Amino acid sequence: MNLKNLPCFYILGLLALHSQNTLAAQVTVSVEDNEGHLIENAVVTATPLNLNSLPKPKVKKEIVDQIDKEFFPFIKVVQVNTWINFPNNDDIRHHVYSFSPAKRFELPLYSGTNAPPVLLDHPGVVVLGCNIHDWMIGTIYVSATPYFEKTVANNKTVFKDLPVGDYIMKVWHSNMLVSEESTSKPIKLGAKDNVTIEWRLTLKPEFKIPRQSISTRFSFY
Amino acid sequence: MRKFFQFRSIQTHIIFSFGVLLFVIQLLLMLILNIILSNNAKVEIEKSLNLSAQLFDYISDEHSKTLAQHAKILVADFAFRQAIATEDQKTIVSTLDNYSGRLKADLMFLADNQQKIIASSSYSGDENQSLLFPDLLHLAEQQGIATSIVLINNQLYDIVIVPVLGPMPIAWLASAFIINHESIRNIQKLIDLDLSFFLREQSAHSKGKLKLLASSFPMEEHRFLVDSLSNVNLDQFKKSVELELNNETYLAHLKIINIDKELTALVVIQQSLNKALKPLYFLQQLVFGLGLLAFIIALLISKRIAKNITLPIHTLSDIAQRLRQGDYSTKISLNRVDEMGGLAFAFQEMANNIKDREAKIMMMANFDALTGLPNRIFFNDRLSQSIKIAYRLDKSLVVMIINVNRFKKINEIMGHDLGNTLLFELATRLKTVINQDIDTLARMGEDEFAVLLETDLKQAKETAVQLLKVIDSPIELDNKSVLITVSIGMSCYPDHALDMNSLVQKASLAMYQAKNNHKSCLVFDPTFEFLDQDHLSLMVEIRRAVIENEFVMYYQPKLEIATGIISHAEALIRWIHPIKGLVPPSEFIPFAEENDFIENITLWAIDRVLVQQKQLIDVGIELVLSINISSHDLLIPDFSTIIADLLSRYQVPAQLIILEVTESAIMTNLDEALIVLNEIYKIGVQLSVDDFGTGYSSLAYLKRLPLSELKIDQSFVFNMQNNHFDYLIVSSTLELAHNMNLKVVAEGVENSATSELLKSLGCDFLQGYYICRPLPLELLLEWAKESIWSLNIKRDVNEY
Repeated sequence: MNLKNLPCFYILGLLALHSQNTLAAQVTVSVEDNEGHLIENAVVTATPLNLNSLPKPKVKKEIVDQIDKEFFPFIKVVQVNTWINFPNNDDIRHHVYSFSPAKRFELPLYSGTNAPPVLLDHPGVVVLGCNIHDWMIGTIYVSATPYFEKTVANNKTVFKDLPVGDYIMKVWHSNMLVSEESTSKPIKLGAKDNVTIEWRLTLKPEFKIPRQSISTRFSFY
Repeated sequence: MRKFFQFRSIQTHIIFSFGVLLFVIQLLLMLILNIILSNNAKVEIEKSLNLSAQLFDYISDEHSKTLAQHAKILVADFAFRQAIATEDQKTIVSTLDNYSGRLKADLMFLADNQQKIIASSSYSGDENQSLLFPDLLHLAEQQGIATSIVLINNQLYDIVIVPVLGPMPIAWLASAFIINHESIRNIQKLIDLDLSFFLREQSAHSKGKLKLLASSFPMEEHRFLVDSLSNVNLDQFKKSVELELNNETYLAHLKIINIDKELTALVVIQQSLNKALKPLYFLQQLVFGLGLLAFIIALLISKRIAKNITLPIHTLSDIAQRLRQGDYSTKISLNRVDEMGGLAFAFQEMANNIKDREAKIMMMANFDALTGLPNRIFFNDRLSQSIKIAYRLDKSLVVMIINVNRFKKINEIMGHDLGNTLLFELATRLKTVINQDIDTLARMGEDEFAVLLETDLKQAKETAVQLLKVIDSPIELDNKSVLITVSIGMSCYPDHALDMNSLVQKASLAMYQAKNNHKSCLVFDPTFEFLDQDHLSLMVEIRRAVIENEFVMYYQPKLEIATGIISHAEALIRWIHPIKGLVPPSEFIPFAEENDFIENITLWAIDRVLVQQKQLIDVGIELVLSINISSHDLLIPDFSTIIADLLSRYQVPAQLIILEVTESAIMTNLDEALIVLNEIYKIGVQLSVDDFGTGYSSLAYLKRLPLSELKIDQSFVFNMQNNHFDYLIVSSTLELAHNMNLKVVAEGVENSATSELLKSLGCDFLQGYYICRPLPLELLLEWAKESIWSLNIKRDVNEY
C-alpha cells in the first residue's frame, strides 16, 4: 500500500459513514466450531471488491500493552498503516519481536514506554513474541479493509451500516486449520439488506507454552 | 525285604538306622534350604532385574530429557530463530551443523509447520521431503516436545522433536541420537546388565520377525541372541522370561517400544542366572559341605554310641556263655550306672541265684528239705563208701533204722503240718546224739530215719539207748504234749551183710521185728528173715485162699437157757491151708485188716453163711447164725444194701442172721457205725455187741445203737467163779442189758459150774467149750444128734 492513497481512502470512508442510514446494509456473522459453539477471537473482514479504489486510510495509533507478562489484548485488529506502541506495564523488561512476514521487528529489552512505536504498513498477521518470556504470544491482525470485527463468545458479530456494494467476507483465527483465503465468501449488499453469514471452522488445539512463574518460584525470598 | 534289614550286629543296625535317619533329615533340610534359597535368589534376581529395568527406563528418560533440554535451549536462541524466520537456507543448514556438533546429535533436521524438511545436518535424504514421523510431530505440537525411538535407515535413534518458536512454532527441530552397540554398552556400564535392542516387524508377511539392532553382548554372541528369543512368545507379553543363551540361562526383562504401527522395538535386559546365582551356589555348596560334615560327625558319634551300647552287650554275652557252661566265678560288673550297669547287676544276681539254686538242687538231691538231714540217696552213697573203707581197714559198721510207731495215726489225728513239726523235732533230738562229723544221720522216708555208725554193735547199742532216751520225753506241739515211741532195728557189717542194700534191708527187718513185738530195739537175727518172708507171702496166700475157697465156716452153737435148745450158732472162719493145714484167724484176720483185705473175707463169709443157712432152712432147722464183722466192714459203701441183696438172693429171712460187731469196732468210728448199723437194723438183721466189756464203751452210746444182743467177753466169764470183780461185771452187765431189753450171750463157758452160775444170774445164751467147740456145719449137725441139747427142728430131719 501506498501512503499517498490514504486521503482518498479516508474520503471514501467518510462517504460511507455518511450514507449509512440511507445506503447501508447489515451483515450478521456467526463463526462456529464443529459443535456449533460460537468461536471468539476470530477476525472477520469484509473487503470491498473495489478496495484498491478506496482512498488510503489515515495513519492511526494503537497500543498493545504488556501486563503481567502477557500481551493485552492478545489479539488486536488494526487497519493497515497503524502505529503500534508497546508500553510495558510490568516492572521487568521485555524484548518484543515479530518474525511475521507482515512485519518483522525487534524491540530489544525495554521498560515503560521507551520503546519506539512500530508502523504496521502491510496487511497480514503479525505474531508478537517476547524473547524473554516464551509464553507471551500476541497477535496483531493487520487488516487491508476498514471493515473488520473480532468475534466474541456470546453474541453473533454484526457489521452495521456496510455501504452497499460487493464484498469478500473472510474469517481468520489463529488456530484454524484452513487458510484465510479459503474462507472467502463474496456477498452483494443492497440497501437495507440484512445478510447473515455463517462459518464453521475446525480449530486445532491452541498452542500454548506453559508459563514459567519464576517470580512465584522465588516467592519465599 | 525283611531279610534285607536284618542285621548281624546291633552296632551296624544302630549306625545304619542313625545314618538313614540323619541322611533323610539332612536331605530334607538341604532340600528345604535349597528351595528357600533358590526362591529367594530368584526373587532377588527378579527384583534386581526389575530395578535394572527401572534404572534403564530412568536413564533413557533422563537421556531424553537432557536431549530435550539441549534441544530446547538450542531452539530458544534468538539468532537461530531469526535465521529460520528469515528462511535463510544456508544460514539454517550451517546453524544445524553447528548445533548438532554441540548436542552431539547424530542427526538433526528442521521441518516446517507443514512437516516438510527445510534443512538437515549430515542427512543424506532428500530435502523437501516430509518428516518421517508425523505422529511424533503431532505429539510435539500437543506437548511442546516429543521424544521417541525411531528407525531411520535401519538404525535405531533416540529422537527429540522440539518446536522453533517465533513465538508460535515456525519450524520443528528434530535431533536424533543413534542407538548402536557402543551407545548400549554405555548404558550397560550403568545398569550392570546386558541389554539388547531388537526390531520386531508386525506386518502381516513377516510377523514377529526379530532383528538385532544393538546389543551389549560381544559380537560373537549376537547370533545366539535372536535364537534365544525365538522360543519366547512375545505376543503374550511377559515382563520376565528365562532365556538360554550359549549354554547359559538368563532371566530377561522385556520392554516393548512401539515405533509405529508395523514396527516395535524390543528391549531385552538380561541377567545371567549363573552369575546371579553364584552366591547361591556357594551357599548350596556350603550347606552341602556342612551337611556332609554333620553327617560324618553324627555317624562317628552314632558309631561311638553303638559301641558304647554293644560293648557291654558283648561282655555280657561272653559272661552268659560262661554262665551257660556253669562257670559262675566271673565277677560281672561294667562299672556303669546306666541300664547296662543295671543289666550287668541283674546278670550278677542271676548268676548268684543260679549258683544258689544249683546248690539247693544238689541239697535237695542229697538232703531232706524238712529236717535238713541227708536223704536215702546220700545215706546209701555214704554207706557204700564206708563199706569200702571198713573193708580195707577191717572195721565194723552198724546201720540203724529208726521208725516212729503209729506215725500214720499221729499224722491222721494231728494233721500233716504238726506231723512234720514232730518229725523235725525228732530229727533235732536225734542230731544231739549222733556225731555227724563221724557218723551219718539220714531221713530215709516219711517217718523213718537211719544212722550209720562207724563202730561195733556194742557201742551201737549204747547209742541206741541214748537215742531212746532223748526221744522219751514229750514233744510240745501246738500246746499239746505228744509222747512218741520208736522202733529201732540194727544190722552190722560185716556180721550180717557185706553190701549196702542188704545192710539196710536187714536193719529194716530188725526194726519191723521190734515193732511187731513191741520192742524198742532189736539187732538183726537171721530168724527174722524167715518170718519176714512168711509175712510177705501171707497176703498173696490170703488172696488165693478167697479165690480157691480155702476158707471154711465153723459154727459154735449157743444154748438158749430158757428152752434148752441150740437155737443160735456163731459162724467162725477157718483157713485150711493146703500146706500149713489149719491156720487160726488170729494169724490172718489182723493182717487182712491191716492190709485192707478184711472186707473181701467178710463178704465171702456172709455169702458162705447165707448159703449154709439156706441149706438149714431147706432141711427145716431153724438156727440163727451170727457173723463177725470187723470195724473196717462198717466202712464198706452200701454195706446194708449188699447184705439185703444177698439175703434176697439166697431167700434167707433177715431175722435168722445176726451181725456181731466188737465194742471197739463201734467205738472207732461211732458216727459212721451208727448210720450203718441203723441201716442194717432196718432190713431186719439183728445186731450184737461182741467182746462186751473190753472196749471201755459208754453205756450211753449203747443206748443209741439198735442192738438186740450183747455178748460178755470170755475173759470176764472165765474167772467169774473165783474173781468177784469179774462176777460183778457179769452180773451187772446182765442186769443192765436186761434193763435195756437186750439178750445176753456169755462166751467162754467151759464148765457146768459157770453154766449154772450164769443160769442163776439169768443169762440168756451160753457159748463155750462146755456146750461145744466150733465145728463145720455137717459135724455140728452130727453132734446135735448125739447131744443132750437138740436143735430147733421145724420139720422132720431124720435123714440127718
